[in-house]
Amino acid sequence: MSARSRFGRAALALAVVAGLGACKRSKAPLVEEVWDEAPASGQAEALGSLAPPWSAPTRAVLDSGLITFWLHEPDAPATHLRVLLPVGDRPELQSAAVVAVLETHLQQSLATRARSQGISVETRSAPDRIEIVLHSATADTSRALSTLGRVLAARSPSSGLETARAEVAGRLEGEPTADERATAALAATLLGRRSSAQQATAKAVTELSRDALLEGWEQLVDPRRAVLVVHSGHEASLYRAALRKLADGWRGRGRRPVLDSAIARLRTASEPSSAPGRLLAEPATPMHIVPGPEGSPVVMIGRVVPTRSAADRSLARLAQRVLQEELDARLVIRGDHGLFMLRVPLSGREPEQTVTEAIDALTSLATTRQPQQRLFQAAQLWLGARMVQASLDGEDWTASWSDAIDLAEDDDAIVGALARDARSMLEPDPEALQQWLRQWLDPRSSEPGWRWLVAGASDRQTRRLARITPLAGADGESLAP
Amino acid sequence: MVLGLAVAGPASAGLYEPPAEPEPASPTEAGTETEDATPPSPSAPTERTEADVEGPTLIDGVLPSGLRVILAQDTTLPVASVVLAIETGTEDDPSSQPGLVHALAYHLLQGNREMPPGGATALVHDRGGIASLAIGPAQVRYESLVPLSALSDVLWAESQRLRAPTVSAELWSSTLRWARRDKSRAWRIPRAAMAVAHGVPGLDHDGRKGSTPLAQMVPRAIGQALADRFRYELATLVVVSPHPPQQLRETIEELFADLPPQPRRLRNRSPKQRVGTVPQAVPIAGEKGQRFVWPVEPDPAHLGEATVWCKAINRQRRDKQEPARARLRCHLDVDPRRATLILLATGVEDPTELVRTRLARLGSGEETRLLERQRQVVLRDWTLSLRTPLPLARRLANSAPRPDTEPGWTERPVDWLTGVASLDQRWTRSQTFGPHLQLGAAIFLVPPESNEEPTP
Repeated sequence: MSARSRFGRAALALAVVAGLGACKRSKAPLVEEVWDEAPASGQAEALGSLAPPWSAPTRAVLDSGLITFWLHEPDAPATHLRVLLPVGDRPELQSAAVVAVLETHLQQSLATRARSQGISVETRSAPDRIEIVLHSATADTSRALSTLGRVLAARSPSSGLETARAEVAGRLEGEPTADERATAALAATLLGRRSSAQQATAKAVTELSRDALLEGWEQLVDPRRAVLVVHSGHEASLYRAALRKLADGWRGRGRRPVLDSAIARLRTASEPSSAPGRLLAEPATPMHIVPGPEGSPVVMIGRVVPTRSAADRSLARLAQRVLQEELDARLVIRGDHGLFMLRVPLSGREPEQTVTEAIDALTSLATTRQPQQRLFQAAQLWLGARMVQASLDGEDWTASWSDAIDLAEDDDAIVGALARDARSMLEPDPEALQQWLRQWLDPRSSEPGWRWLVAGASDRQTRRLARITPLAGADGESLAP
Repeated sequence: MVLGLAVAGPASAGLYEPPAEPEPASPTEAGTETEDATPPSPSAPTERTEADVEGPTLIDGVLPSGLRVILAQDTTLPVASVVLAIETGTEDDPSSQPGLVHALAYHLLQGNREMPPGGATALVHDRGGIASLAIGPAQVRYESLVPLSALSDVLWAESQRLRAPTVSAELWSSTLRWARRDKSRAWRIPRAAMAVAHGVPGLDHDGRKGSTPLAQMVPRAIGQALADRFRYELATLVVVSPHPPQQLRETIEELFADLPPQPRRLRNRSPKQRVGTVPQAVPIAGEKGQRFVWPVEPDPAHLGEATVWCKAINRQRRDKQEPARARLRCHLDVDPRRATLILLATGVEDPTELVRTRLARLGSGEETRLLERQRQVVLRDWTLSLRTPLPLARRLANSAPRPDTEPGWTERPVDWLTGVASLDQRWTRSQTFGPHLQLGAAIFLVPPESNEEPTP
């Protein structure tokens, strides 16, 4: 392929890079645009196989009730330990303030113990769970397991929790931005939860009682609710003693039913809320006003979309990727449903026009058939980004495993979930996508279930928004326009 | 950040091993450019040579255009890392135009006849990859990590990047706007001290801070400045991918075949080493007479050994004869070409004596076990960090210059170029400081009023 034709191909993909000044050419090179030919997926095939290329992991349930998956990659120089701790199912953990303090405590106490041992620690928030990850040399696997066990086995780490509380409160000082308030409020609304479950404030953290933190800790680190995923250059059988020691030292309190499926442990059973309305059409969903100071006003629009099958998830991802080229669209998949969100920063003078234009753009995209090549490009970008991220994460397969948990129906399906989703992404069907978009993402005529809210708007802006939609207060009470 | 590009700090630490028999260091003119300069080599503490190193290999070549190319293989994931490193940096700024190289490095994102502004970056982003730009005192790197399917496009973009960049007043204005957003790099010691330690006056300014003369440059001058400083014969292209290196070699040779032949140009970035028995006192405002500074040779092997020494110094126990509050802390300011080792001596009346006795303990073989433990720690960290393509490509871009500058290809051990080979052998009692870590090779930062040399 000549350099020029290569550039021609690239130029099509670069259309979004605007405003960077002039190029020497006064005319774009002539490029034959064959938009709807079947994509040549040969080169992308490799991207569709992000799954460990070795045998399925060893699954075991330890005496303490901890479910473990051991992924063995022969000769891998590093070991990664990932503990997945659910937070969405227990009332003690349905406060973002409690979860933030507990997560910080875990990070601090593990990092303190691991620092001198050549073990690195990180924490990550995933849908309805906290993940803590330890990376070490393969030779230090026993030491890493032991460090993990010592921290998670602590019964009442009061002083550590107080230190973490001070750290979190300091970090949260100052008012959350309109963006943060709107995102948290919309996520809580879509999930049918209180907004305090999605957003922590310095005040809420400071006012937490010691008992609330200790009860939260006890629930969080109960091994009968947790899942441990290990990726190591050694086989699990070499670490029987270390795992036995882990099970002996790290145990839950009292009696409780023990779920024997990792998926069941990590996926909250509650159904997201459904709303009866549409946007700028009947039945109309009122726009909620999120309380808080004025400044940087933003409207957040969202809905729950079904993601039960790999095909559904592919369509949802493709839709988000295509929309993202023109709108600030986000998608979080959590099991059999995903949260779709659209962020619309408001212009100062005519906020109602900004919102109407965003809805029009969404409607237009939802009713337009997308060419197959464009969908293939979107799929390739998603798959490529996933692969690049896996490399940046240090080829830590426990991260991919964690993602796969959100895509699988049962434990046996986790191992193939990523590859299945990737294969589905590489077979984009423009008609199916158009139908899906019409059914779920056309705010005026799709299935009801849309929500929207505004944060940071002034009184004047609120009044103007009332010209296009009914408004409701934070408690859902209708406000007179 | 502009175009989603992260301006990374210069890359991670390297590894150092002192020569078995310290040779008296002769002052060299640092920062000078020669066509046949003798490159610094990652000298090993024992007589280990490149030929003794086993393990995976790569191919290291020089194209007729003068470009050095390093091709290594990593088959773990279908991703590839591409790094174009140019041996020019902010220390090469003309004194009348501080910030020039920094701005020019950004300007190379503005495309040329074949690429629109931002085109090379967009090629990477549109395939799900990441791109970054690292601008250091003596090296500029364009780095990318992409899915394998995008490799040929990225290689093509790198083969175009330095060719006749588009220059216009409008583009230069946006370049300067991008460059202004970068924060200054925080070094542990003042820039003036860096300049003296390395013997490079060009280090004594903030290379990321633009100046009025830059805004006044006309397109012709900008084009000339780019042509002088950003040339393929000063650059190294590193590719780490699942492809067998020999297979990739043909592709790359083809991409650069139309460039005119040029001799490879080397820049001697070795610091100007001092000799003597006492450190050179350098008056710097705000100093308390507690810090000692050594320049580190610009290759991974030496950087790595400095890391081992530094870790060991930070773990030394206080001697019974030292005051109870005596403390010696070591810090390594890491940069692929201008790394600096800094010792801070506190809690004593005579900091020089504290440094002398502590270094003597390490150098005498008395604390070989301590050094050996730290060697193992650094080796383990390096092994872990270099197992993925991007860190490996970055490290290879920081390797010492190729001994042979003539066009042609050589198969070389990966561990030799990354500096792992010199760490991968037991520390012995006979290993001593290299000449550049002797007390007499250091500079001693003192308050401006007391610029006397410490008592020998």
